[in-house]
Amino acid sequence: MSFTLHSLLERSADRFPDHPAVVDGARTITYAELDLAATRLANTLSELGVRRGDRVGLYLEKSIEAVIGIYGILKTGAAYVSIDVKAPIERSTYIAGDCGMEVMVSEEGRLSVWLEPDSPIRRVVALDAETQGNVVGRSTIEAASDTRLETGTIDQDLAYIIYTSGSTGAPKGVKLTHRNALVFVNWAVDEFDVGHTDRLSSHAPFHFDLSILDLYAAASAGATVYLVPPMASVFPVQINRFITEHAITVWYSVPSILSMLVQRGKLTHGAFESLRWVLFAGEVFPTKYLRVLMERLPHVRFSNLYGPTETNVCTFYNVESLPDPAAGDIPIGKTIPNTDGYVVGEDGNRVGRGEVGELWIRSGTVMAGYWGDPDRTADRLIDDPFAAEIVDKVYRTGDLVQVDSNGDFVFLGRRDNQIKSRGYRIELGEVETALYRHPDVIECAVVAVPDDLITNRLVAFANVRDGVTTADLIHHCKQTLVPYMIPEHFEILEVLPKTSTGKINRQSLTQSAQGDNT
Amino acid sequence: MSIEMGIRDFIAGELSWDGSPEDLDLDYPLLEREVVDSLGIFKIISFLETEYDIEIDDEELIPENFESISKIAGLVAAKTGV
Repeated sequence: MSFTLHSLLERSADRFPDHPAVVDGARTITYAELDLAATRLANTLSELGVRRGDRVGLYLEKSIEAVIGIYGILKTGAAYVSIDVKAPIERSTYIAGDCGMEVMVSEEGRLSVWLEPDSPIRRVVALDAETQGNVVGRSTIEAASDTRLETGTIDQDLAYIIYTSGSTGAPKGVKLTHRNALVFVNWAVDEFDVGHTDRLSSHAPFHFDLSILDLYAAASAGATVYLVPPMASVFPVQINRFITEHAITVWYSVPSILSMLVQRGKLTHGAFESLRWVLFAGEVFPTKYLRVLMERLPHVRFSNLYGPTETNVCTFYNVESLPDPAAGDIPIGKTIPNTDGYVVGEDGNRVGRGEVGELWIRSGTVMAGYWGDPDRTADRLIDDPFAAEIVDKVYRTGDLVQVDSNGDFVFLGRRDNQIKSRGYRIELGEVETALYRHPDVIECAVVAVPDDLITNRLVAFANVRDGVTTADLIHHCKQTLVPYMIPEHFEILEVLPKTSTGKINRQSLTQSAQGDNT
Repeated sequence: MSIEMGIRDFIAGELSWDGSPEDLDLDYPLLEREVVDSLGIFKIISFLETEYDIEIDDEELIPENFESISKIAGLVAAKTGV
C-alpha cells in the first residue's frame, strides 16, 4: 500500500529496477536509476534546508530531468510547483513569490531569471549545470547521499500546487495532496488495467493536471512513460509516428490534439496495433472527430474523463459504441468509485433527473484549497449540507450539468466567465485585467467564440487612446499572459456596445466576432 | 510584398514573437525556439491558404517545411509556381 506518490516510484524501483521508467527521445532511464537520481536530488535539497511542507519550484522543459526533479522534491516531503517555461517572466516570478518558494529546480539556460537580486529564490538547483555561486549543480548532486530520506510525509500532506487562470487577474494555486492524486491514480490503474508492460504517453505539460495520470499510473504499475516531444504537438503526423514507433498502449491528452490527428495526421484504418485505450479530458470532444477516430481504430477503447483541477478526475464515461452525431456531445458519465456527485439548483437543493444544476463533488480527489486564499477556498469548498452528520467538504465546480436517462452527467456549460480553449481553462476576467493594465486602454471586453477544433477562440475588443494599434495590444498581452490566453484576434472600437443597464454588451460582441469569421 | 515579408509580418504580429518584425530573421529557427507551436501552426496554415490561395496537404505538414520563414516561403513558392 502506497500513501505517497514517491513511494509508488520506490516500490517499482525495488520490484523492477532495470525496467525503463521514462523514455525521452533517444534517452531512457530505468526505475532504479530514476529512484537513485531522485534520492540524491532530495538529499541535496534537504541540505539546502528544504523540509516537509515547503514548496519547491520546477522550471525546466519536459524531460527526464524534470521527472527526476518532481520525485526529488516529493522525496523531501515538499510540494512541487511546476512553472510553464513559456509563460512571461512576470507571471513566473509572481507564482514563485505567491507560494513562498525559496528553492527552484531548473536547468542550464533558464537560471538567470532566478538569480536576479530581487528574485524570491534563494538557491537554484540544476542537474546539468556546474556548482557556482547560488547555483547547485551536477557535481554537488552526484556527491549527495543515496539513502532515502525519512520525512514522515503522510497522504494528507501537499504533493503539488497547480496554478490556473484566476478571474481577478492573478493566477491561483490549487493545493493538492498525495491522497488527492492517489485516489484518482489508484482508480485509473484499476479501471484501465494499467500493467507493468504498458507504454503510456505523456503529452500534457507537468503544470497541467492531465500529467498526474501519465506519471503516477505508470509509476504505480512499473510501466514506462514516453514523453511526447513538443514538436509532435505541432505536427499531427508526428503524433501518428510517435504512437506507432513507441508502440504506445495508453494515450491520454486533450481532445484537440486527437481532432488534429484525425484531420491532418494521415491516420489510416487499423493504425496503432499496440494501442488499447485512448483517454481524453479537459474539454468537449467534438462528436464528428471522435466518430472518425473510433472508426479508424476499432480495436481501441475510448474514455472521456472529467474533472476541474480542483477535483483531479471525478467522473468518467466509457464510450462503448459510435456516438450518434445527432445526439450532441457525449456525456461526462458517472462519478468514479468512492465519490459523491450532487446536482444542485439555484435554491441550494438537489434537483431531479433531467433538471439543470451545478455539479458538486465530494471525494478524496478534491483539493485541499487555494494557496493563500481562504476567502476563495471558503466560497468553493463548503461543508457538505447533504451529509450533515459527517464533517466533510464538498467542492462546487461551477459547471452546469444534468443527469440523462442513463444516469450519466451531461456537461452543459459554466455558471461564470470561465471558458476552455485547447483544454486549458481561461478566466475571461484575467485576460481583460491584463488588457486594462495597458495605460491607453479605456475600455475592453474579451469574448469566447465557439470553435470546432479548439473549443473556443478568444476575441478582444478595446476602446483605446489615439495611436494605439492592435499590434501594441498583442505585444502588451505577451508580457503578462501565457500564450494560450492571448486572444486570437483584436479589434479596436470607438465605443463598446452597451446594454440598457449600461453594461458592456457581450452578447452583441460575441455575435459580431462570430460574424467576422464565418 | 514578397512572400517572405508577408509571412514575416504575419508571424511577428500574430504568433509568439516579442520583438519587431525587422528582428525576425528569415532563417530564424521558428520551431526550435517555439515561435511556432501547436497553437500557431494551424494559424499559419489558414493564413497561407487564404493569403496565397493554396492548399497545404497533410504530407507537407512536416517540420522541414516550417522551420524558418525561408522554408515556409519556399513551400508557398513551389505551390504557387512563383
